[in-house]
Amino acid sequence: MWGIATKTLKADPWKCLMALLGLTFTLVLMNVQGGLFIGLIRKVSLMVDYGDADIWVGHRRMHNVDFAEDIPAAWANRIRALPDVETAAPYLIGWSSITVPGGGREAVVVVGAEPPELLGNAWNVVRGNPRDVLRPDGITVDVYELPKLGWPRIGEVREIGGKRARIVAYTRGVMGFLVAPYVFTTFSRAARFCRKPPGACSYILVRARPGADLRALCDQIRLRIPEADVYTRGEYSRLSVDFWMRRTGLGISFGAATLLGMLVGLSIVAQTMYASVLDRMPEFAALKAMGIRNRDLAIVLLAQALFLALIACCVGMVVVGGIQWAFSTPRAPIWIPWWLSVGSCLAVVLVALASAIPPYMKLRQVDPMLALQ
Amino acid sequence: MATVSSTAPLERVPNSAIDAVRLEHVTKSYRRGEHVEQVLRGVDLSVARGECVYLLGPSGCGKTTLLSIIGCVLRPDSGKVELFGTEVGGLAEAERSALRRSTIGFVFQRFHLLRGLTAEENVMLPLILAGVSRRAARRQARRLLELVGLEGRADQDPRLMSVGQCQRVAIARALACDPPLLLADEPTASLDAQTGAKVMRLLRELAKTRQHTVIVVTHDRRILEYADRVFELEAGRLVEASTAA
Ligand SMILES: Nc1ncnc2c1ncn2[C@@H]1O[C@H](COP(=O)(O)OP(=O)(O)OP(=O)(O)O)[C@@H](O)[C@H]1O
Ligand SMILES: [Mg+2]
Repeated sequence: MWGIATKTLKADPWKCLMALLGLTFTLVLMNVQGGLFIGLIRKVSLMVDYGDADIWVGHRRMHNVDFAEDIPAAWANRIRALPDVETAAPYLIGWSSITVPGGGREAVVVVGAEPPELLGNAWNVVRGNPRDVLRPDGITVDVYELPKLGWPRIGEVREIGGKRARIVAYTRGVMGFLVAPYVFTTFSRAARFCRKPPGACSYILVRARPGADLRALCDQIRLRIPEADVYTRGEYSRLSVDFWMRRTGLGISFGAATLLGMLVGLSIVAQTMYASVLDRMPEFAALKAMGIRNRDLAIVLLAQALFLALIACCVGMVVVGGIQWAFSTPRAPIWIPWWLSVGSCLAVVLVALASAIPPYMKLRQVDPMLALQ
Repeated sequence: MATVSSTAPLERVPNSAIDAVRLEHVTKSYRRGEHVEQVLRGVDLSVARGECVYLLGPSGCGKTTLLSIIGCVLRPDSGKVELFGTEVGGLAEAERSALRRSTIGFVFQRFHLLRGLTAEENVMLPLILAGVSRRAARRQARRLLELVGLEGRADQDPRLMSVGQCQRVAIARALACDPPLLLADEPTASLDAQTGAKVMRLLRELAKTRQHTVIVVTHDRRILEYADRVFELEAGRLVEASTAA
């Protein structure tokens, strides 16, 4: 049956190609759209995901890592007293602006990590060293943000919030969801850049002792500081993503585009399969006169659909890889997790199988008499 | 001929006294708008097993219509159709389809070989649909292609074959499942006299050695010598024309 299905399919190379194009298009669209979406939404929680803190403690109803309210830095001492806590340090994420040559200013998100651990400091440093921020006026910026900042070189001095800042290191690809560049520095310097009142911070970052039960530790912290919100890294990451999804409807627009792609693919493939069945009407009528079971007709069509889907998945994933290689940038990363690829392949198989339904319904009704006339 | 295990009614109905085909006062008309065309006006026919019967008649007289009714593809307006003692009028579509699969081999006027399949694969098709293993089906197909004089062309694409060769592939396909009833619509129309005679001799041989029933619609008077009986369809009725052999 499989042989009959594939051989008759290949006898119409153009139709075969059309159907393959439709399915491949669907697959590529789902992966690239999905990958762009995931790449974008991952930026929302970038600080949390890479900030190597196990637990984030912040103000009541904290919902998104970039917009933090002030909390007392002194909470860190209360948390440090807990036996399962290895480190607890104040952390600052605040807004300010940096001078740009020529007299302009650019809004930046200042991130301050507390020495000596520098929990939540820059990662992916490509020039200099993350700990260089400990040097006088040291700040780290991202190479991809250099155009916005007027191409500052290492060692160049700027002003942030009216205070001296010296670029000491570059990160690569540490870019947030918001358009403002991240500037990493020490906690105290960040507080000055953002003109924070003394003793205020945005979060307390907690690193637990190895093997500690994080949820239990969260509960203990909540007991100690009832006025704080306490989340594990994963929880806060999801919370930040949820916030942006709800506020922006990003998921809906990406989802709608993907769904549209699937429908376009479905209609192309269904039409092509239908047309190729119409083309072969007398042959199918002859098969019916010969007494072929409807079940066997269905098997042939489903086998054809499956065959097309499998080829489209293989070709499509290669194309997706190419697109990802050519177009994925830190600003618009195309992040395709394995489950997206597997899911999209399954979706393409489903689209192909669904496309076999209209031609099958047509074939059920074919009059075998057609073969004799 | 190779034997193919099948669920042919032949085995189920051991009584060889029962006719292979029996039509009683079969009528059929086509409606085209206001106009009703009475094509068959009461056809009676009995064909015994192992008999080779030819149907003659001018173009458009209803030969294909009659063959379709015998082949359980078309239902008559009235009258009775029995195949191997089974009244087929009362059967549901699925049962008629199963009966065609197990009992009837068709040679279509326009062949209807499947595009994309080789000659051999076309012949294997009914066997595979009947659940025969690929290996056995291939062996059987080779044997049949040899039988119709197409040895060495098994792997050829029928689209690259001559009309006569296609016709022979179609005949081989009709014979694939060793059907007890073979219905052929103009099987020699596109064959030269020699090949036509060869094919008809083959069909007749099958009828005689395997007790298979063969009904052939034809215009070709050159092959009448291979018929046991010849009928002519005239004004919607069958008339026995002559008795050959
Ligand atoms: N489905 C149909 N609808 C309407 N009229 C039909 C239909 N099938 C056949 N006819 C008409 O019935 C008559 C008999 O047709 P049929 O095909 O049985 O003739 P035939 O004897 O096989 O002709 P030929 O020798 O040319 O193949 C013709 O006049 C034809 O136009
Ligand atoms: Mg005809």
